[in-house]
Formats: sequence, structure tokens, C-alpha cells
Amino acid sequence: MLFVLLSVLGATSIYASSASEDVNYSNDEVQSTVTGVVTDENGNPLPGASVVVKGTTTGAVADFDGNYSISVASEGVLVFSFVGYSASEVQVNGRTTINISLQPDASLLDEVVLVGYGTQKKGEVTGAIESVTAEQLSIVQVSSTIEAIKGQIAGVDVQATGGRPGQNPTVRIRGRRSISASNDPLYVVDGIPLIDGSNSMADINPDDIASMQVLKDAAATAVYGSRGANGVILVSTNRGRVGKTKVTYSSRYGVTSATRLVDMMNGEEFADLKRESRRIGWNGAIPADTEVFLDPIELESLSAGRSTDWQDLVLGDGWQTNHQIGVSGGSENTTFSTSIGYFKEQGIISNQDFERFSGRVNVDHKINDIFKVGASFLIAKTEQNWGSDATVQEALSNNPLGVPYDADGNLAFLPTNDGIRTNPLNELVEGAFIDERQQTRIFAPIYLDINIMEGLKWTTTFGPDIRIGRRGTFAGSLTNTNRGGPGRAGIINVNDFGYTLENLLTYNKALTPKQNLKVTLLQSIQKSRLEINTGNVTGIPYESQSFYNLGSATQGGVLTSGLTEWALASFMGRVNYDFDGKYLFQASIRADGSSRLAPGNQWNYFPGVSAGWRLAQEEFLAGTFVDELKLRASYGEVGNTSVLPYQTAGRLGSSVYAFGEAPALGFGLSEIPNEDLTWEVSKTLDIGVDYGFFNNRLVGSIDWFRTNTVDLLLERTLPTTSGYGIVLQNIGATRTQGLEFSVSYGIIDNDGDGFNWDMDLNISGYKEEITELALKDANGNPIDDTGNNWFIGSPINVFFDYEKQGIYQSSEEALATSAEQKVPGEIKLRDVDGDGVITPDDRRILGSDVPDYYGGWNNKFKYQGFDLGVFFVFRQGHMVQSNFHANNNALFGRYNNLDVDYWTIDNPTNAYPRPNENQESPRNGSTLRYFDGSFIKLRNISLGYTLPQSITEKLKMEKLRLSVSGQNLWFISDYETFDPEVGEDEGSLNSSVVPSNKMWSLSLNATF
Amino acid sequence: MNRKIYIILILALAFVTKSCDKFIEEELVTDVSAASYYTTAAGLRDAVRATYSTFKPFYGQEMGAAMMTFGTDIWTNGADGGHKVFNFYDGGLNGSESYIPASWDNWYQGINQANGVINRSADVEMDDSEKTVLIAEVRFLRAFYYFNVVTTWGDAHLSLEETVGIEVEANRTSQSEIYNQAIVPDLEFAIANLPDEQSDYGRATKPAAEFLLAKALLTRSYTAFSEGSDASRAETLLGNVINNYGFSLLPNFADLWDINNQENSEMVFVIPNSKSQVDSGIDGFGHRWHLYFLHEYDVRRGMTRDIANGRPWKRHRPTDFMLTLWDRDVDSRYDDSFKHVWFANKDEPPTDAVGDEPARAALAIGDTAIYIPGPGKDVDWPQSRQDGVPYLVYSNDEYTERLFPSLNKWIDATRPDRQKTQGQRDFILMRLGDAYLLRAEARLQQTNTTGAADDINVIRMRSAVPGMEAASQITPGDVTLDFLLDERARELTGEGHRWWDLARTGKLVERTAMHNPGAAPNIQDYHTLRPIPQNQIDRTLGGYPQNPGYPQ
Repeated sequence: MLFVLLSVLGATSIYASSASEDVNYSNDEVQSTVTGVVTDENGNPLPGASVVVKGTTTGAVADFDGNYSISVASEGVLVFSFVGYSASEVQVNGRTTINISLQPDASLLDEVVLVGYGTQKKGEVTGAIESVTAEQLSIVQVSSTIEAIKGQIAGVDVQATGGRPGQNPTVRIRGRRSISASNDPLYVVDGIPLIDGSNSMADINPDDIASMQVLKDAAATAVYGSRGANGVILVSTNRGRVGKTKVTYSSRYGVTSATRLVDMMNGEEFADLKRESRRIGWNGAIPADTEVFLDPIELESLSAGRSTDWQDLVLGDGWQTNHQIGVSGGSENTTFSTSIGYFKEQGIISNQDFERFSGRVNVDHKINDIFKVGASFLIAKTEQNWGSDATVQEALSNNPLGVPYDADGNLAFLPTNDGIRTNPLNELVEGAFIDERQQTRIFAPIYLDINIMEGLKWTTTFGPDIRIGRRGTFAGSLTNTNRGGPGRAGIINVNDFGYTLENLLTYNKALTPKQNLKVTLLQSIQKSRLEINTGNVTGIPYESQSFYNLGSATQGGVLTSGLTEWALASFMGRVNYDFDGKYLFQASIRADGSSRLAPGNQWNYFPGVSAGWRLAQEEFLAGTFVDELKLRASYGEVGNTSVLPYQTAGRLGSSVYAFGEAPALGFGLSEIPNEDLTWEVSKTLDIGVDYGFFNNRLVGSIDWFRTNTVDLLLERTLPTTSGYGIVLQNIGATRTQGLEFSVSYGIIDNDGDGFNWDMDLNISGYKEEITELALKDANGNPIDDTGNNWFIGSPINVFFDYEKQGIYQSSEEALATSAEQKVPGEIKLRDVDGDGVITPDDRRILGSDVPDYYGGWNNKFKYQGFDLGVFFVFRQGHMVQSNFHANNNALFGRYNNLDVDYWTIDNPTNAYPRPNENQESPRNGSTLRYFDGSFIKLRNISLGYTLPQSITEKLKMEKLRLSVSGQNLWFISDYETFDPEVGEDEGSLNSSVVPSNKMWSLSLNATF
Repeated sequence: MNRKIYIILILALAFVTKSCDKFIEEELVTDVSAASYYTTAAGLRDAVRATYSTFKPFYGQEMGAAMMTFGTDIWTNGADGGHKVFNFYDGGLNGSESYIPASWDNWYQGINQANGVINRSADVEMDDSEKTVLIAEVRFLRAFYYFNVVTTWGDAHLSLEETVGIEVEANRTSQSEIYNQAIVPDLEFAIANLPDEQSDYGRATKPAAEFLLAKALLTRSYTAFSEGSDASRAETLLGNVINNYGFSLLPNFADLWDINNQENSEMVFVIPNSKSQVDSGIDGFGHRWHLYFLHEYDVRRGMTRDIANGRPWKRHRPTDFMLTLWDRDVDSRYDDSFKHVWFANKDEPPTDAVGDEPARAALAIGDTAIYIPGPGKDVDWPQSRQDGVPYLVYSNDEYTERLFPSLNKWIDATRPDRQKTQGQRDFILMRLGDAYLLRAEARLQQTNTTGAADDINVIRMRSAVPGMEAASQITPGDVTLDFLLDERARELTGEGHRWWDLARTGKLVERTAMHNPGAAPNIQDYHTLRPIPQNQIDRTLGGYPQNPGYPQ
């Protein structure tokens, strides 16, 4: 392939010099001034449309009424263009007035999309790439760009965990490939691959984003090699255009409240639970209340009929506001786009909030015909007040018979005499608990373009990415953390510097009028350096200092520091070829060398090939209802080294001991050195169709894919008799097969101000199965690895446990004893092998967290100035293992409990076991925590009104839109918690999760 | 213009272009690896220190308390906490109970660390005599960990080599082989090479190795694979400990629990805790047993939780049987081990009579708030007398899972705050008092009741109530295995020996069923071994056998 590239480069240098002579020649021509009006297809002026003299850099911009004026040679050609409209070339032929009406871009498929190290017309793309427009991003009003794409793209699964302001959701493109290596997609902002995953996107203001492209198949992502294993999201930010300076302002304000509360027991219900938990045996007597309720407050509450609703006390209303001012424009040689944004969300818990100031300047400057430089400068400052995890936990767990305030109206620290359960309102006292996470981010890619000759361009990009983070924590004496002990404070400082340096050579050449060739060569290095240091102290003398005087603490603290570095070196080459715009072909190869692997395994090569056939361009479909029909097929390989640095070394763990009073710190074996650690490689075959019918009223795509991942990086648990419990290893293989479907349909399509109904629907599903594991039987066939819960033919993450069959009833006492050494009222497990006793062999696979299908459904209605959007997201058929229930459904009569139907001798239910004070969780309580996690959620409903132009003109505005919207107003799910969306890591859904919130908001968008 | 840009570009490229392989070279800065560090003398010393640290996640933590205290004749469960299955011996005591894998993992991690030190030491250049002592320390520790493995699980995995690479197989070696290949030869090596004393307090010494070997041999003497000389060797070794190194019993039993005199003449081997490391949080495994044996004083009239009285987790409560063991007129050890009086630490107004509760006078700080008369003294406290005092009195019939005589041995009033769970006390693994009782047991095994009575009398004499010295003494005719176990309870209660003492002597099921009502309905013969962790069974290639009796 390299040979082809070189010969192409050599053969074409002749053309370049003649091209530059043309330019010189035209400058000597006789000039005249041409004026006119640029309008759209309906005759409305197109302010900001650009007019350029073909073959020169001379240009002009239409004013507010579409008028332009430009100097041009009488034999010259003018090129008129405007975003969303087809460019039009007009021969001047000596005329001085040229009025032109531009036609809307015939096909959306002709839009130019980012494809990684370059752009392509959408119609010519051969990989599975989906776009998200700025308009789509603005549907849902959230702090994070990532949150905004939820449900909008087939195959992209975005899941949030709870409603804490500033929380980052997890993003999975086409499911999960690896269980140990990272599954985060790669984000590429203005051409620079970000060092970090989703976290590094949090600083980017959604309003600054012009478009996003999601690269899903391996042929498309192979150009990013090892970093593209989990899909790539390309983000381009707003850039200026030549023309009148444009000012935009947008603003919104919304009020938030918990979407749903959970049904915990009230005082009377809890009292019954507690009485039952104290019953002597399962069928004995319940002791007198004076023996059950040892705390006088409980008895007092019972006789007074008093019950405290703790959720109600800690949850309030929050709000969200966002303001953004953008200014963009430019002259012929220099364009700019700048913006300032402010976002703040006050959580529904009073000490939780998130705030972001962001500023952006994008500048592009043409030095001359050869050189062009530019920069995208982002600076953002965010501050998240995390709040105390104990707030919700205590609100859920506190005894409803307890009281939040004492007789004098002061906050009671302990609502009952249970020393563990503190009053959640203590966490909310001003200054009592602080967890403040600040981050300053500077991300400033700069580039230099060199047009070496016609079609041959060199680009050097340098992208430094600096993140300075500081987390300060403070917990006063009267918090759950300290329970009356002395205050604690701590600081974590994070200093993260990464950079990317890339040299890119692209060559475009029309080999014949029908054959186009494009060659891209890349050399790239990337490096990250992360320093973390922390200090924690106890015994803060005066609490007002918060974490600002750690040295004054009475007890010295723990200091830690660490340095983590990694580097990646890469080379990539790509060839695109098309014949007649019908037959499309692309091939690429990338070589990556990663510092995270041991020498010898550091380098690997990742090829990708794809081809497309645009059937719609063929004669036999000309003039039919088919506007676009493209068959695509691709195959690519990508690698994953998203293992943490230094994992091959076999690091020692520090140990603590003392000899007398003297410290005796040591270093012990803690990791198996694994120098064999190598690349996890995913090989994806993708076959897709892009279609557009009926004048593109019905457009969409369908993709089928199959990914085989080999040398899977798995954190494998080991029999601990070896001295090690876990090792990261390349073992086994998985296969993921899926189908993605998306359609956009203009159901009712009236021109102008008539009634319009557009619908977008996307549905995706995939099956994941393990095909190979390290353990083999005598014949070399892979066998299940029960110790790791990995089973051939099942997804990586399955729930392997006993199955609850019911509750042992009073009549089953003998069976309960013989099968499980239990008594009536306890959980009855299914005896899978029917041998009459429950043994570990009775465990089976209960389900997995892989959904059957998921997606989004969006409806947009328009009539005159009004628009209405209704947007649902859904995820169906996956199982959830709920830690939330582990904490809140322990049924032991000490802490409050979910209001469930539990067994008593008088209530022979099969739902939940009998409460028992002698166990912190019922035996086999894990079997009560598996749920069908399916849900449908009304993500957004919004009503907008765009003022008629007659009014906006009077206001000297281009556009003004007002809207009201409601988010997360409703969902349906069998899984009863605050929110069925639990994020990928179901373990994070614990009792301290912050309830998700719904929001009603008003917003305004103005363009001047 | 263009030329300038080109020149700058060429210069810039020259600066940034580096060799690719150099660019992606990984350098370990924050951490060290065994391959580089364990080859140095400093690295080997650190590796040895790390081998000691295996003690800490078990001893002095809740895991050790639950596994060694619950389910015995002398302790039963209090109100709070999980892991009560160790007391109940119900179906929940299986290979998935979290302390089962946690303790198994811990000992095997320590064993592998010890194997690593022993294997790698050959290549380390350092003073040979120092190296020999270090290896002897580590072999002592390996023997200790293997001894805990066999006394907890019986037959188990045996490896004397450091694990290299990924090991998914495990063997099941008979207990007798583990004694023969690991415990006994390791300790013989340790005895031969360890010094009598170490300058670092807490390092293994020759007497500690003799003590451990004696205990191991004594344990083996009860088994089917015992060797004829086990009990006599144990007696000799313990004799060495008692006579050769200058250890002496503290004059008063109560002095053992003086937090300001922990490094005393009675200590043979302890896990030291550094107060500064514990308080600063560097050591997360400070001694926590001060939490587990306390009753719920802190919500009673006149009382609130404070540092001096401790943080009551109410995990372990004495059985009625244990409270009958001491004759308090003769023996001071109950009074030296348990707390009787709690003094008010907050003012309390007078209260009116409610139901059964009589009216009580006001309490001022420093007044008696709670009084537990304790065994033998209840007769002095009829209800009428209890009702007549301003403070609360709990007699034997009023003990509950929340209210009970509280063991005071581990109380740690030096903790920086009342919530701090980690304390600074050393955890006592071997003390001279125990050496006497073990020698008595070794002598009893050889039917030398006279010698056994002599040893027991030494212990009893030390804690005799003044004037009752003669009455405290026993005769050879009194010495039976049950008497000896009673005596061990009187002396060593709450020190973490009981479950192993009963299992060793074959008395676990009999005595626990007789005296612990929580355990009585369920305990069976197979409970003298703990279940093999379910994850060991699941993760081992070809599986791993479960101990008999547990769900297979």
C-alpha cells in the first residue's frame, strides 16, 4: 500500500505548480462590481450567505436583506453558498447584477461528516457512522453533552446513575466488549483524541458543539487503532464563518424535584416489622411492646401515632439555569467563534450542586494560500458539591418512629437511641459536611495547515490538555461520618497533563473524471502524566476552617502521592477510492505502540477495509422513489490496552506493621507480574444499508454487526491458595452480534407554516456470549469458569445464584430443615437438581445485564411558529442486581425497610421472608435482589414558539424562540427504586444514590 | 514569510522527534516490583515485615473475634452485628459466609509471602547471620499460618514454593503431612536459628517458636496421626519457655490489662500496635476488640457514650455457664476481667415511677449510674433493694442481648475520640500464663495430674484474693480435661483462644451444646472443622472438596 501512496504522490507534483500560476493570473484581470440579492427557494433573503470568486480567496457576505456586493473579473465565476443549501456557481459574463435563489441541499446525505482524520460526504461514507446535530443535542436540557445524546443514536447506550448534579453517565457503543479493560468510547474534540474518557467531556458546554459523529464499526474506528476499540465520538465545536458577525443568546431556567420516591415503611408498619422480628422462633409469641421497643421515643411515637417521613425532610426542590452568549463571524482571512457559558444546577438535596463557567475561542487564520493556522481554546472551571452520601442513606434507614427535632425544636443528632443512625438533616446543616470538587480545564489544540500543492495538504496539530483538580472534604463532628467524634478534613490534588502531537498528510486526486483517490498518512504521539497527592487529617480544632488548615489538626494524617504516566505512539495510513460516486472503497492500517504493555508486546497493527455501493446512483433506480440506497460492508480490527499502566510489572503492595511503637512498614507480594499481557483485539464485520425514500421523507439505516473479541483482557479470580485472588490476563474470547435500526419519517409534511410531524425511531439490540475461556477440558474444549461466573455461551456479566422459589410455609417445617436447615418463614430455594437438599450445585444463571433491545423514539410536531417534541427512551429485557435492596430490604427490624409483603405465621405470603432480628440480612437474601430492569421513560416533552419574522425584525433580531419543557416526567418499570436506570455498574446503585429528578423549564434562544 | 514558517517547522520537528521505543518505555516510579526490590537487602527486610502483617486482618479484628469467640461454651451472641452464624451453627455457616473465604485468603496470602521470602533470599547479598534470622522469622510465621489453616479447616492446600504465574490448581494435603512438611520443620528451624530476644519488640524469638511448636505438638497429640512423643516434647518446650528466658508472671492479674504496661515480663509473643500509626489512620488494623464485648450502657439513664467507657458493639455476651466459673471470694479474675460500675457522665433529673420502673432520684456526673453485681452477688440485690437506689442494677435474671457483664480486658481509653474503632493495644498471641496452662495440658495428656496441678496452681496463686491463697490451690485429683478448660476460661476468656481450645481437645461439640443455648440446637460433630470457602471450590480447576457435613 505504501508503494501506491508514494507513486501517487510522485506522479502528481506537476499539477500543483500550474495551479498556483492560475491564481496569479486572475489577480491581474480587470475587475468590476457585481451586486444582487441571495434568497432561498421561497424568495426569502438569506442573510450571511457567502459569495466567493471561484479560484480566489476574494469573498463577500450577504447582509440582513440578502444583498451583496463583490468585485469580480467580468469573465469570472461566482460561487454562492449557505449552510443547508446547495452551492451555486454562476458565470458573470459581464453582468453587474446577479440575483440568485439557492435551493435547499437536495439530500441530507450530502452533508459533510467527520470520519476521523478528515471529512467525507455522508453519501460516500462506507463505515457505520451516525451524526448528531446541534439541534438534536438541544432537545434535552442537561449539563452534559453525553447525557444529551441518550436515546438518539442506534447502538449507543447512555445510562445515568441517580440525580446528583454534575454526575457523568456511562456510555457504551454497541455494548460492552471487555469486563476489565475500559469500555469508554474515545472522544475526539476538534481533532484531538482526549486523554480521558467520559469525564473529560464534562467540561465541554453542549451549546458549543456544532456536530457530533459516532463511529461504530471497526473499519471506521480502526484509524484510531487501540484507542478506537469502544467506538469513537467525534466532536466539532462551533467555528466562525466569513460574514456578518452573529450573536446568539440562549437562556433557560428549570425547577427540579424527585421523579419518584420509594415506599419505605411508616411508623406503624415499621413497628409491626420490628415486633415480628422479635418473635420467639418463627411460630412463638411476640414479646410485649415494652420489650420490643426499648427506646422511649419509639413507644411515645407509637402511642401518639407519630411517624417521620425522612425522605420528605431531606428532599426538596432544585433548579437549573444555563446562559450562553456566542459571537461568531469573520473576514476573508480570519474567522472566529467565541462563547461564554454559565451553567448551574442546584440539586434536590440542599448541599449538592454543580456549576460550570466555560469560555471558548476558536480562531482560524489564513496566512496565505499555503499556510493556515488556527486554535480552539477552551477553558472551563467546574465545581461540584458532592454532598454527603449519608443524606439519602440515613433518610431511608432511619427509624420512622424517631424524631428529627427535640422538644426545644433543635435538631436531634440521633433521632432514636440507636447510635448508628444519625439524623440525615445533620448532613445538610450549612458547613457541616463539605465535599467540594473543583476542576480547571484548559484544552487548546492548535494547528498549522500547509497546502503543499493542489490536493496535497500537511497538517500538524498539537493538543495540550491540562486538568487541575482539587477535592476538599470536611466532615464536622455532628455528621454521620464522625458521629460526635472530632472533625475530619482532607484534600486531594490532581494534576493531569496530556498532549497529542499529530502530523497528517492528505492527498486528494481525481485520477480520471470518474475516479477519485484520497490518501491519508498520519504520525501521532500521545502522552499523559497524572500526579495525585492527598492528605487527610482528624481532629480539626475549630470547624469553621473547613479543609483550609489541615496542619492544625490534632491527629496527623495520611499523606499519599503518586505518578502515573502512559504514552502511545502511532502510525496510520488510509486510502479512499471511489468510482463514479457509486462504488466506494476504503482501506486503512494503523500501528500502535503502548507503554502499558511489556516490551515485545507493545506494538500491534490494526487494519480496516470497507466498501459501499450506492445503488441509488445506478440507472435502474433513477427516477424512482428511491433517493438513496447504499449497501455497506466493512471489516476492521481494533485493539484495547485500556489496562491501567504498570500492570505488567508485578508491583508490591505496601504493608503496615509495628515493632513496639516503631513503624515496621513493608512491601509484600500483591500482584502476579504478567509480562504476557497483550492487546485485546476486536474484529468486527458490519453490513449496513443507508436508505432514503420519497424525496428523503423516509431516511435511515440498518446495520448488522458481529464482533469477535480475542485475547480478552479479563480480571480473573484465582483460588486464593496461590496467594493471589486476582490476575489481569488475556484469556478467552467473546462474540457480540447485533442489529441496529434507525428511521426518520416525515409523517405529515406540509410546506411552510403547515402542520408537520416528524418522527425518529432507533432500536438496537445485541447478544453477547463468551466463546472461549482459559480453562479447557481434556479434549481442549473450553469449560465454564464457575468461580468467575463465566459460562460458555452466556454474556460476560451474568447473575449466577440460587433462585428463590418462595417462602417456607408453616406446613413445610420438615422440608425446610432437611433441604436447607431453615425454618418456616425463610427463603425457599429452587432445588434444581431435585436431590432434596440445597447445595451449591443448585445455583444457576438467572439473567444478565445485557438488554434485549434499547433505543429512543422522538416525535416533532410543527405548526406555524409552534413546535412540540415528545421523546421517549427505552431499555428492555435486562436484569438488575440491586444493591439498593440489599441495604433497604434487610428485614431485621433495626433499620427502616422497604414496605414489602413479608411472611408471618398469619400472613403466608411467598414474597418476602420473615423479619428476624438475629440476621443482618435474611439467609440467601441475595435472591431477593434480582429484578427485571426494563423501562420506558418519557425523557422530554417540550413546546416551543418561534416568533414570526415580522416581529423579530422589529426587534432587530434574526430569530427568537421561547419554549417550555418537561424532562423525565414519567417512567414505567417493575424495578421499584428512584429510577430504573442504574448505570452500567449496578454496584454503584447503593442506598446512598441520589434520587433522579424531573424538571420543568423555560428557555429562550435568540440570534441577532 | 513561508521560509520562516518552514524553518520553524523543521526546528520543531527536530526537537519533538524521538525514538518511538524510547517514547513508549514504561518507568515505575511510584511503586516497586518484586523483581527489582526483593533482590536487595532492604527489599528482603521489607518483605519480611510484610510477612508479619498477615496477622492483622484477623487478630484484633471482628473476623478473629467472631471465629474464635462465637459458638463456644463461654460466649454467645449479643444483640448486634452479623456473623452470628458462627454462634448458631445453622445453615448460614457455609463456604459463602464472608469470614470463611476472608480468613482462608489471608492465611494463604501470608504463606505465599513467606514462601517468596524464603525462595528469593538465596539471591540477596547481605550479612549471612542476619539473613538466617530473617528466614527463621519467616519460617516461624509460615508455621503459624499453616497451623491456623489446619486447626480451622483440617486437610488443606500445602505449598512451600512461591507461586509463579497463574495457578488455578490446588492440592488437598492431609493435616499430618502439613505438620510433617511445614509446621514442625519450620519451627525446628526457627528454634535453631532465632535469638532469645530481638531488639525489635514483636519480632519472632526462640521462645515464641518453642511456644508455637509446643502448641502444635499438643494439638497433634489429640489426633489420630499423633506421634508418641508429642505431649512430652510439648511439655519440654513449654518448660523452656517458662524457665529459660526470664519471663515472669505479673504480680497481679489486673496488671495484664494496664494499657500503660503492655510490654511486660509475661509477654512471649504479641502483635504490637503503634499508637501513632493507629491514630493517624496509617494502620487501619488497630486492635478493635474493645468494641465487641461491651453492653449497651450508652443509652441508659445518666449515661452517654464516651471514650473511657468505650463504644459498645455488643457482639459477644457471656453464657450463663461462664459466669458460674469464678469463685469470686477466692479468685480475683472475674473482678479483674469484667466491669461492674458505670458512673454517670451526664446529669439526670429525677424520674417518676412508670410501670415496673420505680421512681429514681436525680443523678449528677460521677454518681453511680449502672451497677452489675455479677456472679454470686445477685443474692445481695433483691428487687426491693434495686428499686431503692437511684441507679440501675442488672442482676443475672435481667441480662439480655443488650445488657450483660462486659469484658473489660481490651477497653482502650486512649483512643483519640469515642468513635474511633481502632485501638492501640497489642494483641497478645502468647503469654506466660498460657504457657503454664498449656504445659498443664501437656502433662495431663501424659496423665501427670500432679505436674498439671502444679502448673495450674501457679496461675491460681497469682490471682488468689488476698488471704485466700491456700483456698485457691487445687489437688491433682481435681485435674481433668474439663477442669483444665474451665481454668483456661477463667484465665484467658476473651483472649481469642476458646474455639481452638475446644476444637483441639475434642470438647467443642459436647461443651458448646451443653452451655450455649444459641448453638445447642444445631451444633454437630462436623462443626469442629470450618467449611472450605465456596470460591475456592468454584475457582479451582477440577474443583476442591468441601469438608464433610457442609452442603456439598
